[in-house]
Amino acid sequence: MRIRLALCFIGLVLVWPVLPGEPHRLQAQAPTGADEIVARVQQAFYSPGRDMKARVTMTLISAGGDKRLRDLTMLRRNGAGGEQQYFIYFHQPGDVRGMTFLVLKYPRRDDDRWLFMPALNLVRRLAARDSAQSFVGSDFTYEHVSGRDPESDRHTLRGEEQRRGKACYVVESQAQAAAEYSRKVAWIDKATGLPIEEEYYDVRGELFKVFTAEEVRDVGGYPTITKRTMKNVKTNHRTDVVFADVAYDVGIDAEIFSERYLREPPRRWIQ
Amino acid sequence: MRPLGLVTLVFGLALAVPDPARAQAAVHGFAQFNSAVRTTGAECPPEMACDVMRGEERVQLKLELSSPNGRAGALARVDLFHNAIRDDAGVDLREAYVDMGGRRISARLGRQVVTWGLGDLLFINDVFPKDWVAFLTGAPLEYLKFGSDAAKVGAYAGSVGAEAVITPVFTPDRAPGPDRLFFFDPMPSLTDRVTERPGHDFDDMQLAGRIYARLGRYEVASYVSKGFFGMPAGQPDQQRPTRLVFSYPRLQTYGGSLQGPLRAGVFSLEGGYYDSRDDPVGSDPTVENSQTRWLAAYQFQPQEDLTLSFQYYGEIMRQHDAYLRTLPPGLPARDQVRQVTSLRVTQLRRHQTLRVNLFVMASPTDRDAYINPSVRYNVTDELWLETGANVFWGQERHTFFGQFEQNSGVFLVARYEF
Repeated sequence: MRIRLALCFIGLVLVWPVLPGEPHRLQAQAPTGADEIVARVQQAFYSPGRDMKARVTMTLISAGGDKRLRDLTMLRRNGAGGEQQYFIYFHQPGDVRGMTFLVLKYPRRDDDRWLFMPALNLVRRLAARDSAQSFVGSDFTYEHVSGRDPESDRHTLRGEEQRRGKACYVVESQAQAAAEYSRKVAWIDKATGLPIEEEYYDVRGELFKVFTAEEVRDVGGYPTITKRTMKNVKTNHRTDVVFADVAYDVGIDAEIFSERYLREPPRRWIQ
Repeated sequence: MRPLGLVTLVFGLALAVPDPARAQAAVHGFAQFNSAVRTTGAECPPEMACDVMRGEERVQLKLELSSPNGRAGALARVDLFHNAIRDDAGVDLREAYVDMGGRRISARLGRQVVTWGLGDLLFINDVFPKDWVAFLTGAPLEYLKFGSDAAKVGAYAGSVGAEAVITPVFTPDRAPGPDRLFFFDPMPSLTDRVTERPGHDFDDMQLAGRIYARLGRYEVASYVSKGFFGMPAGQPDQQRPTRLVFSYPRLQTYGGSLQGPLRAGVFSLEGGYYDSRDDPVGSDPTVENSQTRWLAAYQFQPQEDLTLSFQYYGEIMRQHDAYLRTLPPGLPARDQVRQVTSLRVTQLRRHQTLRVNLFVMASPTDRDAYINPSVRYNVTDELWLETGANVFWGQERHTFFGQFEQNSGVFLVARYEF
């Protein structure tokens, strides 16, 4: 596996001989293999910039129209060797207000997660099961929020298509490791490397979830999906997500991602 | 109205930061109804609120301020409540503190809840005050802990942190009283009782410290504290006693903990030594002997939104021989080793708005148990309801859980958050 990972890295290096911090130059490249396209999605979707700050509003909408709001500030920082750190502060609803959540994400290994509950002043480490777990009860899983190891799926380029007015690659991904889906088909915008639409199929081959990117904006040179939806077509439950106040390369210190700041949320970043 | 004076002081201090006009302020809180009913049909003494253990309305206001640069802040949480059983009302200042600090050093001054250690309802290195009455009478779990009037100072570098908590005036745990709860009383005939609290000298100051670090995916911590037992010890006044004098014996604790990933779950180990300073040789039957406590725990998720956690906890009395030798005749003797095991099962459903929980704690050595099933549903984002039971069982009336057997009952919480 290490050799495969090393080859994968060498491949990345060959395809994109660019320095970190200048990812918009990646867009000039024209990858053709499915693995390269997926690696580019990984970069464009889940790790642009050295760090990111966003106010994320998730609206959970049931088939009957009943709405629940999850309002949070998300901080992300890219570490060394593909590691990432996430810090989340909950603003709404009231019963989770002031809670903080820390995720340390490693390539090809389960996350480490901690939750801080302010009413008890208690930090709890949580046992993590990455693949299929819903993020705060929404239709998005943790993997939808922070990415899935590309080598957990086998990717095949199915062709090129116009989708929602964009020239897209169509990439099919068969799950090789534990996943919520058995097969995923993604329409990836050639220009930005961002998924425009994704279809998720279960073990019986039936479509159960559809992801759509409703709005893509340029934020400091990084194309960013600022409105997205995940709909469960079997239950008709869906989650609409808005990323507001997105900023990249704002200089979030590695020390923010620690027990200290779980207990004393960094006011500078969460206001 | 002392609490309100403290709130004014805290916010006065907070507003003294430069340019208060740009400070961020937020007001939130909740309104809550909480009741608990004893279901054992126990015959209660006349002074006890019998079948209804809790019936209260409560409004909590939480005020938060933070300076524009985020380096200073303040928080106050004040509860206004009405107790339907005694038909009285009151103000409870849950927390009121000022935060200040930079990258390396920070301080939190004022009333604050401090929670350390890894146990789930089993405490080793967490020596901060606990409200056992709230816990036993069906209040939400957050009311098990209450604030200490303390100064917490922290120093941090990378993934290493060191914190010291200085509590100038000792606050004991809130222990069960005969007005609301059944519990084991070794000398029920002695009704003349006084309680002596530690004084206000330097020597009576409580200190607690913790150093912790994250090493790769593992977390280590060591803890030390100097203070008093949270529960009082009753001392008869003379050979043929006429009154019981309660006091809080001195306690020092030393301990450590380790937590990290293990296969698909998380393991926790914690240990501590309770050094009973007022009874170093263990021959004073009214004061707790020194103890060693340990905890091993493991939690994992067998499937989505289902979490299982196991705990194994034990305590060993250091001088059990001296304890047995000096125990007054007629009093039940405790074993040298007390062991407790627990299992918590938590299942989330309906997009995590429904939480079904079962917590079982049982002691094979004491032959007693505590069972706490509960269901919580978030009806809307603002309103949640929780109902459940606290069931205590024991073969004997003097063991930790057994003594509460007649307090078994059901509870209901309805909370509207704003």
